[in-house]
Amino acid sequence: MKSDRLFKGTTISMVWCWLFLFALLPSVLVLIMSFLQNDPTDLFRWKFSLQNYQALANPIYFKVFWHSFYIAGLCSVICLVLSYPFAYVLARLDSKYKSLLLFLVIIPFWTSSLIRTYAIISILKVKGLLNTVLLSLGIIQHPLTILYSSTAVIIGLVYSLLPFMILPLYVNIEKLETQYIDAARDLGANTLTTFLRVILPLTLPGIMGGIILVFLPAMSMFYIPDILGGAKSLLVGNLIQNEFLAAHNWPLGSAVSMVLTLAMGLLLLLYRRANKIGPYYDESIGEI
Amino acid sequence: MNGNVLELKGVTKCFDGEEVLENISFDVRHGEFLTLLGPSGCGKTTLLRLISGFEQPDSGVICINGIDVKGLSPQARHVNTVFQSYGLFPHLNVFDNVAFGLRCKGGLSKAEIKQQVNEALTMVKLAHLSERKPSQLSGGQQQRVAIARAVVNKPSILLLDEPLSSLDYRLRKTMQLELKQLQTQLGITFIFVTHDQEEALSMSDRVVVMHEGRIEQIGTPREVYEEPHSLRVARFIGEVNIFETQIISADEHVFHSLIEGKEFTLKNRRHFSKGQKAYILVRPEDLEVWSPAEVMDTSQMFPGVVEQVIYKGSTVDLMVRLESQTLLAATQFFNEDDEKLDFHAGESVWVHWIPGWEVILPDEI
Repeated sequence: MKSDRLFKGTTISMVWCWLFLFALLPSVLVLIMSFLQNDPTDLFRWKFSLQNYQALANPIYFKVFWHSFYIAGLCSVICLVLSYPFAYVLARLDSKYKSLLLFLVIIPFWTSSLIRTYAIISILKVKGLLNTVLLSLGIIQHPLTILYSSTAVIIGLVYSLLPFMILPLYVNIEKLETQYIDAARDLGANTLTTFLRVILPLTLPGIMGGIILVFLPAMSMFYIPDILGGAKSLLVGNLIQNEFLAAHNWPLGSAVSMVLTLAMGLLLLLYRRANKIGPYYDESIGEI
Repeated sequence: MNGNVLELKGVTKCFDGEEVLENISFDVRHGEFLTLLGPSGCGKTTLLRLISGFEQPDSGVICINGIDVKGLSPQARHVNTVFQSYGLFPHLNVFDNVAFGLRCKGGLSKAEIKQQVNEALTMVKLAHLSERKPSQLSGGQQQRVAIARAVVNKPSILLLDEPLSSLDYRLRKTMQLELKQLQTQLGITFIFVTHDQEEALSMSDRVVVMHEGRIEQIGTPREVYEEPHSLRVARFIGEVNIFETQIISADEHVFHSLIEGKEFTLKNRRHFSKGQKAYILVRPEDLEVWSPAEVMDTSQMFPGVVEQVIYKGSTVDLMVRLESQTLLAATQFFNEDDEKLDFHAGESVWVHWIPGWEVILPDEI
């Protein structure tokens, strides 16, 4: 009994310590930093100020945020549209094919995402694989200039983040019991109605989970816009990177980070709401 | 139309080359309460899915309201199902669950839908819970919502796939009564699947006893209980004592055989001939148990020893071991002219049944 409680206490405090050290403490440091003043010679000056947040009111930052939201949103939608049918088919497959296909989805993770992004360059560049194929097939007459544009950034983000959309969708759809689909068909629903009124609402948690896993990294993955977008497509991630590493303005970089964290928090809140209306059963089933 | 809402002719279904249903043929009349009874794996749920359209038969014809439904999808059939685990949509509240079928059908105004849903919910006594989510309901309430959701569409046939199996004993009893009342009230044909023989007997107009993909017997509850066509049916429905015997001699009317060493003369309805094997079946409630002091003529009685006495309130179940080591189950009823029923284990008794109450079956091939 006593050692049992000791064990419980130790493990739980270990988890708390871990979370405190690696999650809470850094966040608090960034939060404090965002309220300090910039110093050209030192990292920061120990003086409270709101000037970093005031600086963010500048339309230029607003533009970057808006652009990031737009790119990340578009990226999420494309990922969702591409992933949903794939995840659906995957979840309904025979278990032996299932594990093989899931394995194939995960394999790219074994290569550094940076290297994979460089590989995209060789596909998208003017004399790259894509243009060569399209030209030789006679589909286009002049090579497409996709590289160093927002399109290239979106292609790169979608490619890198696709598995993060597929996996939560797959998990959710696999859990979806066929009895609900049977019930809908039994009650006279056609395929479209069954999808819109039963399958879609019941897989909403998976959709929201996927969007969160795609949307948030899409805004902060700075190296993909760097490599594929050239200087043209600046995202919040690049902004933070620039403030910290190029401009050496740590307090401002922290303020941008905080705003991004706040946006993430809002999205997570949305996710929880989606979960509430999703297929999660209440344990408190009353007596008749 | 000939009064049959459903007709099955030679329906066969295979899964992975294995025959799950072979040559199933029967008719269901309008407004009938028909039960498919059989142990799990006998194909009764598959049969239900063939009728609802979730599976297609490999051969044979299924007619609903006189129309061959071959190739028709579940949504095109005028049949609704109450699923075993109900299949209530967890994201919709009770009202929207029940309204689902009506909204799919289309052509109904909001007020009409509301009225029909409320009627259905009132019928199952759940009108006050229409705003709740299925997860906030008890098992019995979910069951009722599932029934309301199906009957609100006024189907020609309501299919019920072991709907009571997940409820506890008392609730199941209540729901059995309610279902039967509902069926009488609505006049909808019910096809009810169960493996519980008691449930089948107490609710149905007719019972289809199934075994390994075949129909063993179709009949009223009384017929399948009192005149089983096979040993399997007899064993599956209720308890039964079985004596194996050989015919010593037979003529058109009677045959003679030895049962437990005593010679019996029994009616020869099944035209047995000499040397054939026969089974004599006696239900426990048809066996009488006497103490030695009470009997005079023991020529048609078996001596035995009471091994176990199980008191059940209105009845006493006795397990009697005969000299041949055969164990018999006998149910004795308390009644006014029988003052002595206090048997105890170890007591010597005579066992007997009134001739004519037995069921005689030929040896099965």
